[in-house]
Amino acid sequence: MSDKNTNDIKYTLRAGFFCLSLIVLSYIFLLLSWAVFMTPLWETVSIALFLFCFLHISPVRAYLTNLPKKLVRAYLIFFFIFCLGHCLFIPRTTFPFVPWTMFSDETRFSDQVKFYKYEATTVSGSRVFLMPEDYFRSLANGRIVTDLDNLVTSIIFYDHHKEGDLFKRRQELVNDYVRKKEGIRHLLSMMRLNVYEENLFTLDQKKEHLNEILMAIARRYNQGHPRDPLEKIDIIKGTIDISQGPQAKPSFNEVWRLSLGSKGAQ
Amino acid sequence: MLHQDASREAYKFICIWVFGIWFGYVLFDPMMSLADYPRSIYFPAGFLLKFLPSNFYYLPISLPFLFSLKILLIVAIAAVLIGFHKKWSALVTCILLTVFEGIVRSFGHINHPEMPLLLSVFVLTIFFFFEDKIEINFSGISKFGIPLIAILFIISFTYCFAGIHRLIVRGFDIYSTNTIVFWVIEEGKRSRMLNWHMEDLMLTNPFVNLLMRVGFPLVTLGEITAPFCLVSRTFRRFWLLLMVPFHIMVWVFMGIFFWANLALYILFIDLTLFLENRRTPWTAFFKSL
Repeated sequence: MSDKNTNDIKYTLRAGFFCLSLIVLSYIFLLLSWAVFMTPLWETVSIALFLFCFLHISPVRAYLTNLPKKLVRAYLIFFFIFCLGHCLFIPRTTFPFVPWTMFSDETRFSDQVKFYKYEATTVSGSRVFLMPEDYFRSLANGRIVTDLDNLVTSIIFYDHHKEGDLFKRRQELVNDYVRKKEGIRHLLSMMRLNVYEENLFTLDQKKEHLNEILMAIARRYNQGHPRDPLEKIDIIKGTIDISQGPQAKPSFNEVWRLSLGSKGAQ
Repeated sequence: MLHQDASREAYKFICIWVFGIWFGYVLFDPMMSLADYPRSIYFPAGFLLKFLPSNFYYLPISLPFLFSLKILLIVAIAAVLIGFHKKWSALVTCILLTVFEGIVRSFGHINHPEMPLLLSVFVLTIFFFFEDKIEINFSGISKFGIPLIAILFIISFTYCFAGIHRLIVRGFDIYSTNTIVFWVIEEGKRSRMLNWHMEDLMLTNPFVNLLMRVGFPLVTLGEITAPFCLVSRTFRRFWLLLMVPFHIMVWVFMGIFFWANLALYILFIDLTLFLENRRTPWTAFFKSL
């Protein structure tokens, strides 16, 4: 066999090893999360296949085989962690190697679009529209607003379904974690909670969090307006029925009120 | 491959571009305000913050820490920009930027806007450690092109991952239902970045509605095939023609601005050719596309 053929086989084996390791490691992590679904695994397999094919396009192969080996190794390790970060779907643990899942929220079969507005009343009685990210600019670009909106939605949803199955199941899950206090089970559940779980909170805790965020926004507002501080903040839910097309008009109703007292938030 | 014969100027330009943007970003970011945000909402993002001992758990969001972080970051990035102990300053920058970006994502939604720029810093830092050990023309390849191609590789795969994820997790339902109309209205109403109410055009203007509905599957296709920009010039031109308007429309209609991606689109042109002809910028731009 010529040197070229041997090198080609070595390259294919290395690329194959890279892609296979990605699938195996992702699968192990998914197994450890105790919630194996076929979709994430199927996605990892698709990515690995795509990558394997892409690495075999002749300009890519020619370029990679000619690069200095030590540098290639360093970049490959970095790229592997980057791929793994995407395949594991636990961004709070793997950050800065996060899953790239933009515009993949659930498919919407509903025509009712909901959104929230944050309106406040000052001590003098004037109405102010609050833009939460104006008071915490570091959390702009969707960070604070998405979080706030999700929090309000989950509070409304759980309030509405208080007697329903979903809320009970969620509560049981939280209680289950709290109950596992002894030995290795506690250690394992805490590990799982730390590595895999996003935040599990009861309805009361969520309500408390919402009020704390609104208080923080009010404090920041009041720092700039000491003579006319905020007295209360209302969250107004807007609903638009998009099936009505150009005639669609939003309807509004108040879903939350935080009273800050006559002195406002200090 | 694009950037295979990159010049030293192109490489230096990208170093200054990436670290320069971070310098400005950190300089003007009011990160100290985060000390006022409620601690109960703090859920650390990233292993550097998440597994801190309980005594230091809230340290990263204290005012003295945030102030020190800002000062250290400015000093470290400035050191990289002037070439003072470049590789070590870059390593410190990597760690500090990861902590900083982790902190701002610890108060809620883990979003992506600055992520490609952060990953670019990692790629450049890795290269700094090998820079002196590689000959300028290693096996007929310019060493200055290596980090440029590596950054482009990472950016294109971020798109590819997003496209594959959307297709596998949501299938084709996402394109045949009202999902895109729903998202545009929801995100547009939620966003306070631009107050133009452009999202309403999705309902009132049939052309905008059609453009979005047709554009959505096309963009997914563009995302999945993004890595081919590295190897085909013609494909790259079509890709830019699709993706630049996509980012602008997402910004204008939905208030979601992937500014770091757009900033790094400079890597999708042949920088070496562009910088060689920079006296006539427009001609140089079209030549290097």
